[in-house]
Amino acid sequence: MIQVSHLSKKFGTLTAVDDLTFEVQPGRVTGFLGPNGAGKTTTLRIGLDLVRADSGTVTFDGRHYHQLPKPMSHVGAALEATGFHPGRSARDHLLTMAPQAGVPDQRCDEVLELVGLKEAARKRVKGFSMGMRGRLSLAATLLADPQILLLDEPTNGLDPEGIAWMRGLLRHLADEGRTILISSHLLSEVQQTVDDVIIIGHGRLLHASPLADLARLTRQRTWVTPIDPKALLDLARQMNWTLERTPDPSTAQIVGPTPAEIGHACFAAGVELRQLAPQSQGLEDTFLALTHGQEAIR
Amino acid sequence: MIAVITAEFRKFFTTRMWWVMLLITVGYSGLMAAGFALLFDFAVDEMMAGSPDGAAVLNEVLYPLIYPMGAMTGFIFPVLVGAMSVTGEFRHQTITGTFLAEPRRWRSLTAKLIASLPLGLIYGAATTLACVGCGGGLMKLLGYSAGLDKADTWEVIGRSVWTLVLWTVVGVGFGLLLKNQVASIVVVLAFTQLVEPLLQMIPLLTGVAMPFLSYLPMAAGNAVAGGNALSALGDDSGGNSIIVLLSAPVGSAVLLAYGLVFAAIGYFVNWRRDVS
Ligand SMILES: Nc1ncnc2c1ncn2[C@@H]1O[C@H](COP(=O)(O)OP(=O)(O)OP(=O)(O)O)[C@@H](O)[C@H]1O
Ligand SMILES: [Mg+2]
Repeated sequence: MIQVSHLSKKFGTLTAVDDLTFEVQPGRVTGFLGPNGAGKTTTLRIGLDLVRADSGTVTFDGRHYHQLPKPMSHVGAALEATGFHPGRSARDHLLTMAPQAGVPDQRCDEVLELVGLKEAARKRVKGFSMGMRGRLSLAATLLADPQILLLDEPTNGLDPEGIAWMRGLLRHLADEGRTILISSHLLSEVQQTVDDVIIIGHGRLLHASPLADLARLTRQRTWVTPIDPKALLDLARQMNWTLERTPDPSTAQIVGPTPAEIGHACFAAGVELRQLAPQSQGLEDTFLALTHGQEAIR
Repeated sequence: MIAVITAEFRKFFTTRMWWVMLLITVGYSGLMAAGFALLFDFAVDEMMAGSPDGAAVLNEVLYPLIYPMGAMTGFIFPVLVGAMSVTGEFRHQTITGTFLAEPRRWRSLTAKLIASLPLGLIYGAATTLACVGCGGGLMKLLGYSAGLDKADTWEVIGRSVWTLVLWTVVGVGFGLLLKNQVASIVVVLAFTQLVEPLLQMIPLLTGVAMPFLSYLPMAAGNAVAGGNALSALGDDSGGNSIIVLLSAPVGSAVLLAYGLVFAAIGYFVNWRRDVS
């Protein structure tokens, strides 16, 4: 389990992380979401003792990162697709980590095969694509078979096939009881992967729940085209519905009630409708609404 | 700690830098030593007019100058290698991985310093071998003695290797102090090729002894590598030395102190900093 508790960090006058508190449960894939500059990477870096917090703590199963006897075999972290010496081969990169991971050299070949880099193992990282670098980062995190995985934007640079593959892998790892945190600035990118979501903006916690609960925050929107607009307006006032204009002057949007409720009320009031259609609203809209105005202008 | 040091070795030997620099060091030092041997032959012919006695005397004076040639002029390469083992980590952001593998920063720094000792030994041994091979070999070819039968010569050879080990540590310390790779290379080259040589000229030009100059890094290094033979060169007509070199043990201590003080400052200024 990962526990972030009252974490704060300022860079000069800029508050990157602001009294952030949340937990990440084992056996689940948790999405760590927020717009660019929300403080996701900073939070992860603080947890890994790369950046010092102004206040607050991050612990892994109760211990600080630097207190873990063999940190790499407890927490596997991929911060971004950089951090490779361009002249080193993929295999050599892992070999430099093997002694401290406490694994035999052949484990490097195993993880390279696991992430699909077997062919490129002896090629220099210089010639690697974004996706290949991402795979190598992932291989490095898996080297010592850690119980906790922290992946910063792991789908960056992966093709759809690669994303599907990673989804399967993370699911499998979570089912083995591991704690997995993946960050992203797009909910849609991880929506099919995650069980829980933690959403932050401006370094502050905006929402934390299972993914399913996020869906419940969604406000229903329904398209309605009345025969007599005035009758609908009267009914809306009476029912206390919020009516919104649409580009089509004959059509309005009602926010709040379900289509069934609207249909029933119109039938009861004798308001004839030409169209009654629910607007399919994705989770991404909910996410955007949550983080609305949170986009950093920096 | 052994794992951290092993990882440092692996980092070192998995890029091309180590053998490219080794080739340069060996080539450069071998050429310098060979050049000196040729110069010696020329001097015997011209100045001693082929006098066998004079040649023998000069021969004696020369081993201590030919064999540490690499340590006295080619030392910048081990310095750069040591510095780049640190600055390269910042340049390529591999420092993140280094700190993830060993979050206790003082341990990762200690590992870098310890790992630099055997690496320095490799460079020191190869460089000195090049000097003995090219310089001594050429002496033999030209009909002089290479002096390898004398214990003194072996002391000179040992000091040369030791000097280069110390210089590698200085390099690591300097890399910690100035983590920008390009800047550190420029400063090392400027200081060793320009700043200190110019400073050391002042007593020769003015005739005023300036003892503190012997505590500068290159003077300290030369004290370890070349010792008395160099001081003798600076004797004025009255037999008073204007270039005063430290004794070899003090020189070693001074050089080591440069490395460790640089490293200590670098630890607080750079190594302990946030990485983002
Ligand atoms: N070393 C630093 N010095 C100054 N400001 C920093 C530093 N690191 C991060 N910041 C700032 O802190 C804020 C949070 O950055 P962070 O990288 O944590 O965001 P993020 O959520 O990871 O964003 P993204 O989705 O773009 O990766 C940003 O405004 C960023 O500019
Ligand atoms: Mg980020």
